[in-house]
Amino acid sequence: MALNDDAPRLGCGRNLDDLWGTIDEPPTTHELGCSDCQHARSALFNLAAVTEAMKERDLTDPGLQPAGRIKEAIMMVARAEIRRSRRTVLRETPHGSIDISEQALNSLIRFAASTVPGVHARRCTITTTEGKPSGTDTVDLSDVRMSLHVALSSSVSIPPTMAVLRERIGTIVHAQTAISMQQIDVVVEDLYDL
Amino acid sequence: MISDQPLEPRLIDLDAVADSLSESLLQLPGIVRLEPTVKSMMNRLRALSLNSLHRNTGAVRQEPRMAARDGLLLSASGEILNVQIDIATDVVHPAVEVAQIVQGRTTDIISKAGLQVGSINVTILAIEGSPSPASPRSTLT
Repeated sequence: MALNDDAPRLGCGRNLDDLWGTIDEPPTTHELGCSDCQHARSALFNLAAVTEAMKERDLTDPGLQPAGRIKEAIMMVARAEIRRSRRTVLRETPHGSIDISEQALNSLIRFAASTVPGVHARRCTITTTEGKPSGTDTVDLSDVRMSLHVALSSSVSIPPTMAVLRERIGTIVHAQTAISMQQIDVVVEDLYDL
Repeated sequence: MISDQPLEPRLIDLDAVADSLSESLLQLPGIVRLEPTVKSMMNRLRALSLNSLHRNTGAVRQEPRMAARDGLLLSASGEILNVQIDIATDVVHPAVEVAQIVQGRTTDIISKAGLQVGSINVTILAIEGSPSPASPRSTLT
């Protein structure tokens, strides 16, 4: 047996790390009859118990808790991240990828709708392939479809306004992101008086 | 006279590169702000905590292999620097073009810092009509 390494050893020659590695297993025949191993097992159990107790205490130690503003800042960012939803890769360049969040695309569509007189954008949903379950991590760039619910001024004519709205959304989304929308569904769910 | 002592490996000051990047990108037309993410925020907190720990214990500070600012996450692998950038853009400027300009500017800054450019990934997290008055405020200061 090589004893010239730097590993700590017990009086019986057993490597302490080996003993620690099997601490959760029942004692071996040697350990049952070796006082060095028995003392070491007992000491290691105590050390583990003390360490666990200190870790538990740290979890509730007021001095180790993050400041209120730090927690608030983290939660604010976390909430914003959830709202951003899925992402889609817009372009791969020699330097890396460029992608966009679904929330950014959503707000762009609503912005485009707001540029058409008499149109108030409401809910907007973006989907890819029909029937594809939502909640996936990425959006298929080649098959982006959207559904926009709007309220219209009662003074506008619906068919031409819808044509302008579709054209405006398609143009602005393409100019901003290079995405060509495959389908733009518009639902007029309300009319309002000016 | 040539020293017999081996040369120390050159240390990369990622924090300086991150500060320079942050300042430079915010000046680009079309950039409303660099958007903080949970990942960039936690890395920034980690760096702050380690700095505090090293100050209190007097331990030798290891050069960071990662640096984070709001909307920026830099990670070094040897002399190669990879960057994740999260941006909010102004709708007046085409978002995808702004993102590409961001990649170009980032490449310049990394090269000027004497590092090799790895991947520079840009995510457009928001497209806004006008900058928010609170936009320049950092989330951690």
